[in-house]
Amino acid sequence: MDRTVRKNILLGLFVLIGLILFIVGIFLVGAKNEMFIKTFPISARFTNATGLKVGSNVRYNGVKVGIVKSVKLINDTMVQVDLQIEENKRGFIHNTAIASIVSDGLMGDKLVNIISGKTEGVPLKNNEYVMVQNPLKTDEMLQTLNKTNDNIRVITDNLKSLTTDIVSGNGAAQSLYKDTVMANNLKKSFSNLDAITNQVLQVSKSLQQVTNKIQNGNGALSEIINDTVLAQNLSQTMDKLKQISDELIKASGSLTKTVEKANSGKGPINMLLSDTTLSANVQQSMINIKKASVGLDENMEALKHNFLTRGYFRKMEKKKRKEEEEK
Amino acid sequence: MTTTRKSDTIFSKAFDEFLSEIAELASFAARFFREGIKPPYEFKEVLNQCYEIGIKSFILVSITAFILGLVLVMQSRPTMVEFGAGSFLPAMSSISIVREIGPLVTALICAGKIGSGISAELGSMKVTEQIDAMEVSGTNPFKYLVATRILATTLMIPVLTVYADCISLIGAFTGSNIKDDVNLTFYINRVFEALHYTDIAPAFIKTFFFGFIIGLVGCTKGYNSKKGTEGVGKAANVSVVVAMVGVIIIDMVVTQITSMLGYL
Repeated sequence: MDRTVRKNILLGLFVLIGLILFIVGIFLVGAKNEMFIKTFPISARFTNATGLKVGSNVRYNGVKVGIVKSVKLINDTMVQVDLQIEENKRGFIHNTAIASIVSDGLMGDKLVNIISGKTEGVPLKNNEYVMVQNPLKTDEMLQTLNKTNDNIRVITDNLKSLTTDIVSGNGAAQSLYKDTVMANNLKKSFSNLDAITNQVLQVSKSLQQVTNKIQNGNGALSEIINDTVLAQNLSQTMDKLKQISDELIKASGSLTKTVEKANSGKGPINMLLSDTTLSANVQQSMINIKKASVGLDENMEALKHNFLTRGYFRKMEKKKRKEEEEK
Repeated sequence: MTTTRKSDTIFSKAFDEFLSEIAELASFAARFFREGIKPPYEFKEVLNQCYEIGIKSFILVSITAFILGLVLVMQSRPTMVEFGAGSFLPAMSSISIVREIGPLVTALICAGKIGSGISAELGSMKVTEQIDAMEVSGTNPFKYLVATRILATTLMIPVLTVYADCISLIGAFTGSNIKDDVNLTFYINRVFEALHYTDIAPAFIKTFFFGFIIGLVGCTKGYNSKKGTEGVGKAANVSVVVAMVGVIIIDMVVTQITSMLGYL
């Protein structure tokens, strides 16, 4: 093959491939920018369309459905954003849907995001307006942030002042910070408080157990609380106790009178208590009775062995033995 | 005796030379449009120059573009990942490559390789009086040697730029996959989602101007070279420098125009 022809073929191939790459690139860019698919127009009116550009994406619930066709001011407070939506997505975008301007990620481009409405609606027609939710105003957010910063500055100033006082030795805070005796006292106090808390906890547990037992119906206290018959009996018993108490009060009154009489020196009781001669006579009488009793025992024993009365005593013993065997 | 001597310079020697260079280029450009559009046309020589310029520069342009795409992503990735914008790497690299890196790198490589080659070739022909011989033989040397080369560079630089863009994007994809695992479909989608015609058109149009200035400077310096072989070397050297500066100035002007039109 002629060298010139060969060169020309190679050149033609080179240019052709370059041209194909270029056309494919153009086609892909066009396809991504929705230049070769059927679309329908709708619009949205925002008070602020910062960052939104022609060609920005339009998403419906996060899925790309179109692009921004134009962004234009229509009056001093309103910006109209014309959207170009894919025809095959028409059925999804209803008149209850809400459009908003959001960022694609933290640093991404602005885009229009349409979310489905909470109520059922009808699909939007050509050139109709979709409802909007205006974006958060950065200025207002910054103003709020500025106020927060001022507050934080005041707080940090106070903290700084407080820490300076502590370090320099002014006020009670410094004592708390540096006084070791106070620290030890505080430590002990906290230790005691801890012990008390533990005790209270144990008492509380015990009370809990008692309460549980009462609730479960175990033990006498539970019966007292829960048994209505017992309660009635107790009530009756209490009434009787009250009567007895009344009687005792009366008896006590009588006894008091008797004691008063005795103390006043009238009657035989006082004589018994206060006459020492009578007391000695009574004591001697008692000694005599005891001696007589011993003598009587000896006489009885002599009678048991006397041949005249011995039969009677044996008869009595037999009768007694017989009664015991019958039992 | 006092003599009044007329000054040889108007402003300063350097500035006068600079203005002369511009005038020389302008007159050469005017001559190209004046004589180049008139028949007869030297199609065979145009094709021959396209082959020399396009195909023989392809490997060099491809290697450079691939490496630049790769390096661009590898250099940008840490910063973008730090800001949580790692997923924007394909978009960022595609816009950078198509708008600026592809056309500029192709033009600068060609300014070095092709500009100096044309200048040296024409300079050699000039000092060996081959150009004079052509005139004597009735052939228009400007039409045959200059117009064909300028036309070839003007046509081939855009083609080389398309290749450079594609290969550079492949390099960027490779770079993305060195530390990340980026799916090819995801990468292509992100690349072409980020691109718009307003990115492609100005970048593509300016490559014709790049090609024209490279061919024009190379031919001018070579065609007007003097002082023998020493002049040929100097012409080749100057043509590279002037062509590169010219490319960057055109780039700046096109960027400014694109910005004024609201496409940036």
